[in-house]
Amino acid sequence: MSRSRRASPWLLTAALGPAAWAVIACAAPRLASADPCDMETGEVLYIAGPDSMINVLRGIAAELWNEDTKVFYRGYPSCLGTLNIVNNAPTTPDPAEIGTPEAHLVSFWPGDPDAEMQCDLPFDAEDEAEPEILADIVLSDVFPTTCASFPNGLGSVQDFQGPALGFGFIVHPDSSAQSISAEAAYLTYGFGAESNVVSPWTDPTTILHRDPNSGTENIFAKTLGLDVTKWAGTSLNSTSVLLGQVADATGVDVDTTIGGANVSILDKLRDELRLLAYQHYDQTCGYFPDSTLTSFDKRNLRDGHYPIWGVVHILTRVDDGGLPVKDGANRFINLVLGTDEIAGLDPIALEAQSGIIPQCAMNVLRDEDGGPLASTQPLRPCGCYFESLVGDTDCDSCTSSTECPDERPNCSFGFCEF
Amino acid sequence: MPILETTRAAALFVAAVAAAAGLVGSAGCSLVIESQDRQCESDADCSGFTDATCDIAGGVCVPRASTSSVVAASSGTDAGTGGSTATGTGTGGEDCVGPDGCFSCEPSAQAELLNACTDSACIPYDNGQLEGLLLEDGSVPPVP
Repeated sequence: MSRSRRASPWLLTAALGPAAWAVIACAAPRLASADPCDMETGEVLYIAGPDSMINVLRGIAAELWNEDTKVFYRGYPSCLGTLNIVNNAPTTPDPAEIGTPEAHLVSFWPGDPDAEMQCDLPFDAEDEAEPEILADIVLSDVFPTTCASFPNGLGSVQDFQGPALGFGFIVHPDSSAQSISAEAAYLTYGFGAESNVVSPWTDPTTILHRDPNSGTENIFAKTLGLDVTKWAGTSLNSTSVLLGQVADATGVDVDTTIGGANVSILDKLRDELRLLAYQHYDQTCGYFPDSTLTSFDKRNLRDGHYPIWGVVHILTRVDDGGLPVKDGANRFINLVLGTDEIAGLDPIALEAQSGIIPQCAMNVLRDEDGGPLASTQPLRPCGCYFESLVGDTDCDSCTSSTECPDERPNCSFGFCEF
Repeated sequence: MPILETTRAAALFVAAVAAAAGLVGSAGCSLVIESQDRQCESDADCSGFTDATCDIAGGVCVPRASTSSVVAASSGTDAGTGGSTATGTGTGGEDCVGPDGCFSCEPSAQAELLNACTDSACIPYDNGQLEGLLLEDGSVPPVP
């Protein structure tokens, strides 16, 4: 029986984001390539990577346009981009797009984050497979060490850690399953119900996951300690298809179907999909990324109760002092991390709206995907502000630290923090 | 399906810690909690664990390099064996088992963070239903 299904448009919208629809809408009717990108005027900042923080990126890109820095962005796989920038190699077109108008297409936002435009990066017209230019910044959803061992480090490339993003196991809303342990997930995806069967996930065709090239799958694999090349069940090369198959499950499949995805996508699909509480190895209870199934505060992810998460890595070349070689890259990273500010631009709010978590709201950190958690205290914490943006916060508001109680003495982003 | 607050029965935590102790011991990890009041009185009592020493104040075996009562977990790449277990004592030897079994001191290492007291909702997964699917020590088997 074929279980292949088309993803619903709403799923595609949620999974790919409005920017992706803009790309599709613009690219579909176009028979010729876009105009060449203007590489001569002002400073060019070419960014390649997955779109995990696309809302933040386009907000900053629109502002930098006004500072005469042109940000060109193209979707690009995490590990391929990481290897390229470490090896000082140019990005190459997706093999599937060579010879198509999309091969060298990048997006840019001239002063308005909602006004996406496109152009073609420089390439050799005689050879469509000709590599493009070097990326100034590579974004990655996984640590470089998840992509390769890099025994000699990253050379002159530095990994600036951006916002955190969670991942979760999902089922149909009517599934009987409410939680899953690391052991149960390991058995389910390691054996794919061919043996060591875990109820109710008893059908190999409805144990759904992405593929070894997926950042999502690598995060799950590292967290569970399950070799990413050994995942059983049914591999899908599209997140939107996976989400559609879980949401559209009927009959016995309602119970047997399980998948996994990025929490920022799932936050938009709570009526159609349901997250399972996750109980890690050596943990006594299963938790959601948020403090409840219906909240958006990511409190459990932020405080260490929910360990399935990674961060967006911002990789760029740095000088001997550790500063980005390119001024535009330095400015972009400082704006993402909140070190620089622009009036009217609130990266924390953009991240909160996107279901990702700014580093200043994180109280735990790790130094490898799936690695051990350790507590941390941000220099300028924004956990209370983050919570206020996605719901309620118990924190007291303040304008200066003198207004704050002893137990939360620091006024930061308008709230009394630890 | 009941959604439990983390302020849950201490028995669950103790049982989990005991189970984890089996995992940790077999993996050469760094901390083991046993049911008696004191796990060790001298370093010799910790000889069953890899490079461990006795925290005499707390009466527990700790990694030789650590002065804390817990250590960070090993990488998750060692499935089912990574992760230390929460301890019943804090750095100063104080009682850190909350009234409902959660870790009530300031958490810092992974096992403490995972099991720290919180008012977040949680739903336990009963690994008992995996009986026969896991190895004897409760760890996960290698995949084909």
